[in-house]
Amino acid sequence: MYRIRCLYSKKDKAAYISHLDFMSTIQRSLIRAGVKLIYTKGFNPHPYISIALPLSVGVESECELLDVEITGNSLPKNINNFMPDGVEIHRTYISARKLSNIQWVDVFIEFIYDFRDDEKAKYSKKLLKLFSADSLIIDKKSKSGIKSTDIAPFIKDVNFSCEENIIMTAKLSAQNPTIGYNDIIQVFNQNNDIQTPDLIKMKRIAIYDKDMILFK
Amino acid sequence: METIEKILAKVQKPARYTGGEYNQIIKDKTKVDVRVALCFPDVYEIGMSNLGLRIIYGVLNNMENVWCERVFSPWADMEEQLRENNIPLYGLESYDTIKDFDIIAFSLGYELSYTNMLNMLDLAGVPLKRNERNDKNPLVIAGGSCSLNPNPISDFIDLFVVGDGEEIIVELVNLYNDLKADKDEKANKTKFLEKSSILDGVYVPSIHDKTNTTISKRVVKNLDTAFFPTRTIVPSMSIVHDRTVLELFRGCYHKCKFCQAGFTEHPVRSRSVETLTKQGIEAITNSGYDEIGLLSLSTGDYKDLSKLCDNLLKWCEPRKVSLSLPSLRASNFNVELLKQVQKVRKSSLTFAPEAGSQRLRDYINKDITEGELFDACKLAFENGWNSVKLYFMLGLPTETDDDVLAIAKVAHSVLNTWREHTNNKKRGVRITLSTSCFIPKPHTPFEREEQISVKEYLRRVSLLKNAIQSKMITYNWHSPDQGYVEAALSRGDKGLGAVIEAAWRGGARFDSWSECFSLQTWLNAFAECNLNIDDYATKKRKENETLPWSFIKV
Ligand code: SF4
Repeated sequence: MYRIRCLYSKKDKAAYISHLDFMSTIQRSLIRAGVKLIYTKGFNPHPYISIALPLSVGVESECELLDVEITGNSLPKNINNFMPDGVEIHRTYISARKLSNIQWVDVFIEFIYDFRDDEKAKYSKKLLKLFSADSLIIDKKSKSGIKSTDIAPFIKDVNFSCEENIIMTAKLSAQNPTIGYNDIIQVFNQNNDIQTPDLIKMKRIAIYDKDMILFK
Repeated sequence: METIEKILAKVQKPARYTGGEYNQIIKDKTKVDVRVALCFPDVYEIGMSNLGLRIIYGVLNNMENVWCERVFSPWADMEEQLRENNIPLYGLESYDTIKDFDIIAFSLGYELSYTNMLNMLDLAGVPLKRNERNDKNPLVIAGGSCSLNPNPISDFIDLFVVGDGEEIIVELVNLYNDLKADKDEKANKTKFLEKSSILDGVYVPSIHDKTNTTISKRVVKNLDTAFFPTRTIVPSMSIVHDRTVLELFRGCYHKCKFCQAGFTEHPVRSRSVETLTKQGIEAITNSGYDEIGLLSLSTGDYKDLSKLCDNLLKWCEPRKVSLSLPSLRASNFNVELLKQVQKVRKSSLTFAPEAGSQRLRDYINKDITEGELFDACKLAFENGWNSVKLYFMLGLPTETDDDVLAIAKVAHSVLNTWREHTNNKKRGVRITLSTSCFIPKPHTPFEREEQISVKEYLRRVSLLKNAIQSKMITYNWHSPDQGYVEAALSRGDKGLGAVIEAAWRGGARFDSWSECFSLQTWLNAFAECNLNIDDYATKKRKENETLPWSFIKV
C-alpha cells in the first residue's frame, strides 16, 4: 500500500467543478485509468483520497495537491488521458509531510472592469491601498457563523499591476483561517466607495508552509 | 468566452453550462458537414441521465461527417444572464450558437417540458413556429414518447420521429447531407421534408396534415446489433442517475391499461446476456463508475436476469462496483435476486401495485396479488431491509371509495408483515406511500377515459390520509395540478399549440418541477385562447369520436 501525493492543476472548464463533485470526478478518473485504489473497510467502502485545500467554484489552480492510497507505487504514465478537460496531473511522489502543514497560497487575481485604461490605473492604486492596509475588516463566514474579522494579517506580499486588467498577486492564509475567493468578494461588498468588478478571476499559483518554503 | 465566464460567476451550478467532461466529443468544425444540436428541455442533471439522449449522441457522433452537441435548458438564473447579456443558447461542446447549426433535435419525453422547448428555441434566436422559419434557420425536429401525440406541438416542429430513434436519425441526417449544396449552407428544407416524409416512422406536419396519412412507428428489431453507447460522457457534477446503465430490453410483457409505454413499445426485444455483459464491462471500464443500473420497463421480467447478474457480479464485486435493479415487480421478486442485489449494496425497495383492491388491480390489468406483494416484502424484511416504497394512483377508472381505503389496508398489511418478519424491530421501518393522479394517455385502453377533477383527487387523498393509522407509514401525495395540465397536453389537439405558446409567454418554465409550476399561468393561457382545459383533461371521449392522435399507429 502506498500513499501517493499528486500535484495537479484544475483550470478552464474544470474550475467550475465544485469541490464535492471533484472528489467523485477524480475517483472515477483514477479508476478508469486502471489505478487500484485502497478502500475503507465497512458497510459503505470508499477510497482514501484527500484533497489538500478545497477550491471554490470558478477558481483556477496550478498547484493542487491530493493524497491517494493505492496498491502499486505509482500511477500510470498516461494518467492524464483519463481526466476531464482542464485537469492535469504534473507530478506524483511520496511525501511524509502532512497536508496540514500548508500555510500560505500564492494567488493571482484579475479584477475585470469595463473602465478606460487611465481609470484602471487609478483604480489599481486604490485597490492596492485597500488590500495592503493595516486592517481590513469583513464579515467572515466560519463554521461558527458570520463573524467580523480583520483579515489583514492573513494577506501578505500584496502587489498590484495594471495591464489589460488590474492584477493583484498576494499570499493568502491557506488554513486556520482560510482566506478565499468569497472573502475577496466580501471586501468589495463591504466597501461602498469601491466599485465591484464585473468579474474577479482567481488562480492559485503555489503553496507554502509557515516558513514560506514551497510545500511538497 | 469572457462574457460566458462573467455570467458563470453569477449562476448556481455553473458546471451545467461548461461541458468539458470526460468522453465528450470534440470535432473540427471545418471538417464536418452537418452540425446537430441535441436539445433536452430540462436541466443538465436530468438530461444527462437520459439513456435515449446518450444513444442519439453516440450514433450521430459515430458518423464522421457529423458533429452532434448537447444543449440543456438553462435554469432561471442562467436564462436571465443569457438574455441580459444577449448570449444566444450555445452547444456545450463548441460554445457556438445553435441557431447556426443545421439541425436542432429535441428529445421529448414528457409533455410538461413543452414550454422549456419553446424557451430554448427562443433563447437560441430561432423563430418558434415552423411557418415563420426559412432555409436560413435550422431544421427543428423532435423524437421521444411525445411523438405519440405530436398535435399540441406540431406548429413548432418541422419533423417528428415516431418510435425508436437510433436508426432513423442516421437516415435523416444522411438525407439532409445529400441535399446540402454547400457545406456552409443549410439544405433546402422543403425538399428535405418531402423526401423524408416517405420514410417509416417520420411525421412531417406540413406534408402529412394535408393528406390524412397514417404514420407508423419505427422499430429497431435487433437490439443486439443496435448501437449502444459504452464510451459515454462522464459528468463532472452529480446527476440524477449517476451510474452506467444497461438496457436489458425494450417493450413490456404486461399490459397495464394505464401504461403508455406498455402499449406502444412492443414488440418486446431483448439483448442477450453475452451482449449485456460485454457492454456492462466496457461501459464501466470506460467511465470509472461504481454502479451499473439494469434498465428496462420491468427489469425482473428479463428471462436471464440471474445469469446476467452472476456474470456482472463476478466482474463487479472485486472492483467494488454495485448493481442496481430498478423497476422490479413484486410478482417476480425472489430470494436469489435479492441476494445478488444485496451482495454489494442495499437500496430501498419500491413496488407499484397502482391500485389498492384486487378488483381494481384486475380491472387495470396490473397482475400483482396481495400475496405476491407481502411475500416480496417478507423476503425483504427477513433479509434486513427496513424501507419500502409503495406507489399508487388515485382516480383510475371505476375507482370507488372502497378501492381508495384498500390502499391504506395494503400499507398496514405491509407494516404487519414487517412486524412478523423483521429480525431487528428496534431499527424501525419506513413505509412510504405515494399517490399520483391518474392521467389518461393516448394509445392505451384508457385513452378515452376521464381524469378526476383536482377537487375530487384531493377528497380521495384526505379519505386515504384519514385511514392511515400508523406513524411508520408516511403518505406523500403528488399535487394534482401538474397532472391536470399534463392530462390536457397528453390528449391535446392542434389547438393547444397556441395555449402552450401563451403559457410560455406568461412565464411558464420547468413545469415538471413542482416549485416552478403555476396552474394559474396555464389557466390564463387556456382562457386567452378561448379554450377550456376540462375539454381536454377531465372530459370523457365518446366511443365514436375520432381521437386526434389516431393517425399515429403504434
Ligand atoms: S406499468 Fe410497468 S409492468 Fe405495466 S405495462 Fe407498464 S411498464 Fe409494463
